[in-house]
Amino acid sequence: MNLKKILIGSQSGGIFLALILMCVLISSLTPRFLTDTNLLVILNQVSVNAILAFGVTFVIISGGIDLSLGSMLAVAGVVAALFAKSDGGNVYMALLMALGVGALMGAMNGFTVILSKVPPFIVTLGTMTIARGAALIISSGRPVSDLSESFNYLGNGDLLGVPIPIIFLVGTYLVCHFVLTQTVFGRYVTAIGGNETAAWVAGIPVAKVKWWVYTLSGIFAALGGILLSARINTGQPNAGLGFELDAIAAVIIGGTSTRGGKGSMTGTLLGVLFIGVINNGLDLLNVSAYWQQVVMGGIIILAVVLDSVYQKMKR
Amino acid sequence: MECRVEGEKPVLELNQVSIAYSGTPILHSIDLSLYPGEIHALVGENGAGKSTLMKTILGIISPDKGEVIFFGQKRHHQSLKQIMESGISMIHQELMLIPELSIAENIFLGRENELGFWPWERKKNAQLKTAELLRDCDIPLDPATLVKNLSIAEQQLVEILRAISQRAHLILMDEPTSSLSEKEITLFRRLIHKLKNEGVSILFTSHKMEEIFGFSDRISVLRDGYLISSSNKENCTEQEVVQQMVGREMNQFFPHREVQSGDISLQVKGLGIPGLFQGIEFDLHQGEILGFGGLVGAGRTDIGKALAGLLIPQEGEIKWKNQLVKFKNPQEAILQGIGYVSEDRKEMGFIPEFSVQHNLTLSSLLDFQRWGILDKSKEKETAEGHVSRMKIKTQGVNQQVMYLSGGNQQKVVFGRVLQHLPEVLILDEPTRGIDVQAKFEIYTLMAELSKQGKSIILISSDLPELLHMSDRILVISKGKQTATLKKEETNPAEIMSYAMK
Amino acid sequence: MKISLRILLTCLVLALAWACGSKESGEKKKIVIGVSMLSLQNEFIQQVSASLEKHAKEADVELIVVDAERSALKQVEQVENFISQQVDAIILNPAEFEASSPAILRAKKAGIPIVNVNSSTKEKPDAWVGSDDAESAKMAIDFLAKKLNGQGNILIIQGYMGQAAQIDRERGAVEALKAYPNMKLLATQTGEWDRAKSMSLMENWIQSYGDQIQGVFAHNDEMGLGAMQALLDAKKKDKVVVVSVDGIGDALKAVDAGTLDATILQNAEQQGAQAIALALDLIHKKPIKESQVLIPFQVKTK
Repeated sequence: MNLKKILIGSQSGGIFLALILMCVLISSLTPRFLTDTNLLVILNQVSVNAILAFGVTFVIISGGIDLSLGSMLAVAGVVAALFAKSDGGNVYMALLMALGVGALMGAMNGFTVILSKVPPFIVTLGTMTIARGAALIISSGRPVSDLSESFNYLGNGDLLGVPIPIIFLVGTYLVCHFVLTQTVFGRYVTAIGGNETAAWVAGIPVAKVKWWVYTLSGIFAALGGILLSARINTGQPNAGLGFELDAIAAVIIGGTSTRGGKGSMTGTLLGVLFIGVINNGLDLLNVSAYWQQVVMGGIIILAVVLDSVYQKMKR
Repeated sequence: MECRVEGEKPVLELNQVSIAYSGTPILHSIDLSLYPGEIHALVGENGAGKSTLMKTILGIISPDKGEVIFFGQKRHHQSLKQIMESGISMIHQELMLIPELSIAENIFLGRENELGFWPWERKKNAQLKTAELLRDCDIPLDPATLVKNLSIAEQQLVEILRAISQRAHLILMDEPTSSLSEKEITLFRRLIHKLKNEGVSILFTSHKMEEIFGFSDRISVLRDGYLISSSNKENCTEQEVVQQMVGREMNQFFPHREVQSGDISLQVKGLGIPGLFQGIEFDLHQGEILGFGGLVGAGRTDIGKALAGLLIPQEGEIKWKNQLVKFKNPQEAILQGIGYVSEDRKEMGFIPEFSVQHNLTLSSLLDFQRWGILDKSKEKETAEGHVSRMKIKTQGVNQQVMYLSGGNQQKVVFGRVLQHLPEVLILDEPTRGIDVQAKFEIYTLMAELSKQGKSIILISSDLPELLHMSDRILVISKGKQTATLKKEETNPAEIMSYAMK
Repeated sequence: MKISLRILLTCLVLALAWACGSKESGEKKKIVIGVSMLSLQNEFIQQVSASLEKHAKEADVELIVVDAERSALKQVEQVENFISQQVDAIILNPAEFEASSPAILRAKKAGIPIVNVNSSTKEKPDAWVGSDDAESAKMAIDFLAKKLNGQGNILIIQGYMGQAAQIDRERGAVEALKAYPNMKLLATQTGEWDRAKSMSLMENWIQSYGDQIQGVFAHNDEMGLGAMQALLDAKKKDKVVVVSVDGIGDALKAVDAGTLDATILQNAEQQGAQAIALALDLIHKKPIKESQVLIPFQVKTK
């Protein structure tokens, strides 16, 4: 993908510019920002949010929403930790169980959304609470620690110098981008978000596709949960509080329409990086804790406004 | 010149009006005048500049050159409120009513201060005045009914009433009858004549020849931004107008086709859904075009939906190639070879943000993939084939369908349906709201398809279309089948009499 | 649809009412104490809760433990429920200093003895058991100063901004630092009590301060462990002293393993034991020696 195409051809041009501007601004304020180790740190930090955001991008493009990401992440993180204990745990079993649990919760979301016709906002809000409770029940409310070295390697290890979470980040991006743009499934998801009735009349198996979309979101949340647990070496039942909002914010900042039917994984990746860069920059500049939240919110609003102005100018 | 009194001044005059959008000229030096009580039809294909011309008269767009003079005053770009008070009102093709408000509230929307000071006073007066208006126009509706509970046709009437109540001197109507049935058109005709007698001038657009000639005093033809002609109705013929619109000779509006019918493809017995329709029975032959006639709301659309898997029939049976079938959803019908073109193009026809290419292949995407991965070059090739064969006017296969004209959107819908290779096509109002050229092309396409042995069910409120295109006509009234008529043996009056039965 | 939903809700409420009612109508001879805890998702609070349960069992007292989920409003409602259930005493682990005060007032008005555990409220309860948060911070800073010989650069990771424990520990740390003019506070920032957040924060600090960092004080162990993990990943842990407060299981293990330098142990066991003892004394109208029982902190090192 060349630069011109991102800037002019795609929906993500505005956010790409905003990201560049942000990087220029921060690096002019501190020399610590534009170093290769710091850039690696940023990528490492955003990996979990990115994976959640990729999953929920499918949901949002299909015209839905998933608020249960953070809670599903916690359940999967705890389950993974329980199966990855240093005494007698098995990493593969842990991965399998956690992803399975994520898929199951996502599938339940999809099932309820399709059958009940209740807005996904409400359904996943319910799941958010249920899953949070489930995480506490499974872990008896305590962090699950003493995890095996091979499990922790997933969060802190590296492969040929590249930290494992970054490999996951790049891998999931490539897969999701491919699925969204090059497959029948991706086309169907976008069509449903664009006009659900017309998609149904055109013979698209709308219910099946929607079910898959929510299931995928659950699986990605679980993957995020596994990485987070591995990164902090514990399965925390209260992990991921509010993560759904970060992920959704990244998707929206990346130019995906909240009404569905339009969006890209590249946009989401840029949105995730944008949030990550601001977080990192605010810490590097040692902005006071109280002000961080104000600045963060202000910048996000500014970015979205700039983007909409940019999109209008393009026409 | 029945409407013009010697020496009378025109209500509206356009002098050499030209408009260009970012360098592309849309209107070229238009001269036009309208006299009090004149009903003026503005005709032309989609994209000829009719909407732009109307918006210019309304004052939403200012002309680049020339001037618009209304009651001797030059019109400038104005705010909506100024426009509303200036004596010109416009009825849009897309309805601009608020569904959650009542008829009375919609009619007086934005003008509540005319009704008194207190809210209850306003409410009472709105109710009274609306009731009076409805009575005057013989429309049997309750002013307190919420607009969302009205049919599209009734909503259209409310729009017209709103314009009347604004005491406008000039009413612009953009395809006012596109969603009205025969019965409502009669009502509409009465409304127009009432307005005419009060001295109100009307400028309207339409694609239906019988309306253009039935309602208007004068007819102006626009083509590619030029005013081709503007003459009294008595001085021109239908043939001439069509010719001027498309810019070339059109020997016959409806293509010639020979009636032919092969084996029975679809057999329907006692089909019904309680509350919608019942007892529908017919055999459909290969190569046959079976028309469904009747009033809007008679249940024709629901029968079509039941055949295409959009509704699930609860009574009777459908036999397809001698086998009983029950479609649970459109997907199953499509896989069995049933194609469906909905009357509601915007809601059910296409994905607006999708490109022409993506819309064309949407129903047959499984033919363009391997292991779920799309073969985009094959897809593009197929789409380009459709675009050139059906003469879809688009900047390319990547153009978003929402930016196409109605006729081209409909062609895309047809292309999508044909791409999944149906053997039966159910076409619900296939030519509604599209221009003459596209209409003609769709008729030609239908003739070609029937020649290939495909069966077609044509649901249409356009009587000439129904009579010319169908081999047989099934008339539906209030959910029941009242007659099956042969094309050669029937006439519009007979169809209408069965439709009202 | 709407109507059926309403019926469903009504049924649900009735069922809940019945379930609660049946519980209430059980035997009432045993002494019952209602306990409202700040958050059972916090490991330290859980330890206090476990200690309360253990000592209640020993004294043959029935304990009703509810979780306020960090909401003062919820906590006040829970205390109101205890009052209408006519429990014999209430043990409160306040969610907030001011906003939880109405709970104390209501219990006092109803004549039910109330004991605060771990944190304080503006309104004074009948008795209070806990530790001084400011003291824990002072002990942590003293520990850092000792390890760094009174001079060096340190970072402080604070708890959730605006909560009593954060405010007190921050105050304690600032005051303690006055005694060490050569200790320099490089930066302070919130980690929101969260391990993952504080890990990210530490990673960013490593980028901006690199080898200047010599000591870290985290307001709780979760955050201390997060900072420790970041330092381990950056291979800088051997150059930085990390201390945090609470003494949760993971932290004690890390101290044993030598990766965390120290944790300031809050004695959950003692807080629970004393709270039950005080509540029982109040129920039996025995005079209590002191209405404020301070349980001292302990510095746990390898």
